[in-house]
Amino acid sequence: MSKRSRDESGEMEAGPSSAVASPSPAPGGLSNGEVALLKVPQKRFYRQRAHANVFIDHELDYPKRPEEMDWATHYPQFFTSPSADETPTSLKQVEWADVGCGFGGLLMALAPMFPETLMLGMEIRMSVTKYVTDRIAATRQAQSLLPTDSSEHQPGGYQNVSVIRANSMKHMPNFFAKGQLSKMFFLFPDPHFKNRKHKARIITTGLIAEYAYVLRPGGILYTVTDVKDLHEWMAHHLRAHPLFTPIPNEELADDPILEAARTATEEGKKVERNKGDKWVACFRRKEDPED
Amino acid sequence: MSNPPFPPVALASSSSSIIVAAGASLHVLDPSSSTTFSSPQVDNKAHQDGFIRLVTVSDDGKIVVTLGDDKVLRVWDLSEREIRLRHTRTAVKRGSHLTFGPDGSIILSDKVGDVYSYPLDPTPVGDHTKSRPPMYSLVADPSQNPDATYLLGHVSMVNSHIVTSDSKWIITADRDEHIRISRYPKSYVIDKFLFGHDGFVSAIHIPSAHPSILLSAGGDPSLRIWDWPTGALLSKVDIWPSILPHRRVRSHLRRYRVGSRKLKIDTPPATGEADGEETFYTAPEGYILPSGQGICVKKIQSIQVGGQTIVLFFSEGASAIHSFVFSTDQSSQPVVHTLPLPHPVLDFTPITSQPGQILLSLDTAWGVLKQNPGPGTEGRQEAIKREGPVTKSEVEALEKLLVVLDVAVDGALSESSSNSTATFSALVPTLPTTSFKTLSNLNLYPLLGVLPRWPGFEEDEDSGPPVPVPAAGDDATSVAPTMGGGAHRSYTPDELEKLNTKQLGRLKAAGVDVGNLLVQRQKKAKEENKKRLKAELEAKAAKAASEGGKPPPQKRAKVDEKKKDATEEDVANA
Repeated sequence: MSKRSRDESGEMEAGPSSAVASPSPAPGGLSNGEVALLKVPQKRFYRQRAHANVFIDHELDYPKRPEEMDWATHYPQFFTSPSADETPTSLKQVEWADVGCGFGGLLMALAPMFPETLMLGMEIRMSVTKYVTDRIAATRQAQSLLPTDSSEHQPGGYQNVSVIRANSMKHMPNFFAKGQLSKMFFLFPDPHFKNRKHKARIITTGLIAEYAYVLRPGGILYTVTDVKDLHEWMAHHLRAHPLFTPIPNEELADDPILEAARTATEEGKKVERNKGDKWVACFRRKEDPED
Repeated sequence: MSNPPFPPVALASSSSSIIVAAGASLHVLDPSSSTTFSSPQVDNKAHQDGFIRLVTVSDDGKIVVTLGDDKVLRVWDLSEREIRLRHTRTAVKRGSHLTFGPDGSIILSDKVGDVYSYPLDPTPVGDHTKSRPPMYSLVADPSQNPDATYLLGHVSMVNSHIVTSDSKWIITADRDEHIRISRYPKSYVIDKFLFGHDGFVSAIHIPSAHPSILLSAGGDPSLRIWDWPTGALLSKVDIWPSILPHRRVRSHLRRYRVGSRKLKIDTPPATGEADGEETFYTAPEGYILPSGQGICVKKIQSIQVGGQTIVLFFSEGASAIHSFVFSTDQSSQPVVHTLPLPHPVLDFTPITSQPGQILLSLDTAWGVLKQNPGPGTEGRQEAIKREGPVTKSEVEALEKLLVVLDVAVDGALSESSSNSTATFSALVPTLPTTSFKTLSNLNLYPLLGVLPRWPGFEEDEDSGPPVPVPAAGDDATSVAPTMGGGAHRSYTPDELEKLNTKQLGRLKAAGVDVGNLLVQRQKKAKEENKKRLKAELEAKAAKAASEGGKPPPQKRAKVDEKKKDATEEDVANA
């Protein structure tokens, strides 16, 4: 049920398709001639202002508890939808979360690098989430349509990446079980410059406890921003938190994940174009205290 | 002619006394000796500004803590005969729950979701070089609060909290259906969440006889019973049938406009349904009420009667109190007893010195001085028009604020003998009084409009300024996000002509080809502006010419005068 506009010459506009969470057909080619060819979406049709009020009620869909989340619509190759006579057999879990993934740059860069790791983008803005959904769907389909000997095949075929529209400040524990994640990314978050908006920042003392809950001990939390004040705020609060310990930047100098975090996102590329600074702070989740 | 009293909004019991908070003052009653005493008098304005909402008392009855609308946390010392203010501190936001914690500390959860532990006495200000951070930075970063330790924060209103009796855990319940169990005092370590509620959770309770049981309720049709150390749901008690017939107070109304971009619901709420039961909670035409049928369980408590644990609860704005026997055998639904009352219940507390008895406070002004707002009023409640002066019998009726109930061993509730009630009615004359006007304007049911969700009013970022959709056809897209979905439509030149410049600009930014239109319009606007300015200038010149040479001579005259003054001054100074 895609809405497409075709002008007289029959050209296809790369407008948003309503390809909802169900992505490409089974890999290995088209099953029938009816599946429409998805084109990689263009950002300018999905523009939305950067700020969203996290404290108010949005029309959001979230599971009542992590066990009730149907991951099969996001990762069809890894999960089977629980049906009457089948028990969900996958032991795989989403391990990496990109909180505030924006247009999905990081996810698309990391997916082929780590094809066995399931990663999820979380974004509160509806249009932007739609963009990423369409982008993933189009990329997955393109991958599956490539001839088997093509050099453009990417490991995993982007089957291990997906996005949801969620308010991660409110509903993180609804999606992920305790200690499920091994990496969390907070890349170029909204700086909320004004004093009275600081409580809307994504890293606050209260929320660090929730991130520590979904992140397993030993897991890594990455923060990258081009706003120095925000960097100092995030680093200060994470350093002060008893459940996180800072990782010196030297230790992660060769980390390809950190490199992707710094350069692969749309925001990161914009900062580079404008020759801005990027501030990085990474933290490791400690073990819970004994008592 | 006497004035009616402020209704007691918060009650608390210690082992030997009952504390009643009305307006901004505290009143203590020792039921065994029937002695009462009160905190110092304040004026009417102070009663409204500092209206006490939360009260808690230590078990030995020596210390009381209050928090009111002025956000001032007051600690009071209680002696045999007087209440003395010990000290005050200002909280950052309005509080939603207040209890004593271990070691005499005070645990406060507030309306933005932060939970603090205040020491009983303020820490002495030792280091004067470090100035106190301003209030706005405490709002921004609650962990900076110098008065209190920041325990934990939800990104949602925290409605209630419990620190368990072994002081090892703190359980918090919020508006987003979460019940969170964290360690205490290291409350940044979350142990688990109890998932399952469909709506806000506004009351939680651990019965003292069953420390591993947690009862929780809020806007859901059922009250849940959990084994909280394992996180297992043990059973649910269906409470709506008991509460629904006794609702009296409704949330305020919100107007919904058909055709407005905010409208998300497909059909307007049905008005005047055939089923008589639902006329209480149906909004008048053009208005909308929040979801949840107006139920909001405000408090859950339990008392021991004859070896049985009886659970008591009430819903905000309902004129009834309910009870059932809690038993560890959860195989069948317990029988829920309901005692209807003449007015909505404001609060209740067990009378510790008289086992099996509870004290309730009622809002006697409801239905008499104030009522639910009708259409056209977007306020909270409406004052009922009255004729003539205040009569003595009216004031007497308003004074029947405190009621004592007996709880039987099978959970049944009944009104106590007149003797018991009389003891507590002796408190009423000591309560502060106020005018009818103030009484009918008091906001005693804030949660009804704030905790439930308002269907159709959820913010969706995409419904930014809508691009107008030409009426012919395509109604299906009118509710869909416009920017993400509508931009690729092709517009005919006629349609584009009709749009104003601002909308054209948006379309262009979204990628629609508007051709030369914008440039043409800009040119046109520029030319018109030029013409207008020219015309104005000409008109000015013409006016000046017709008036002759008057203006210039006036100017010269002024200059001469000035010169004259200067010379005189010079003469004076010389």
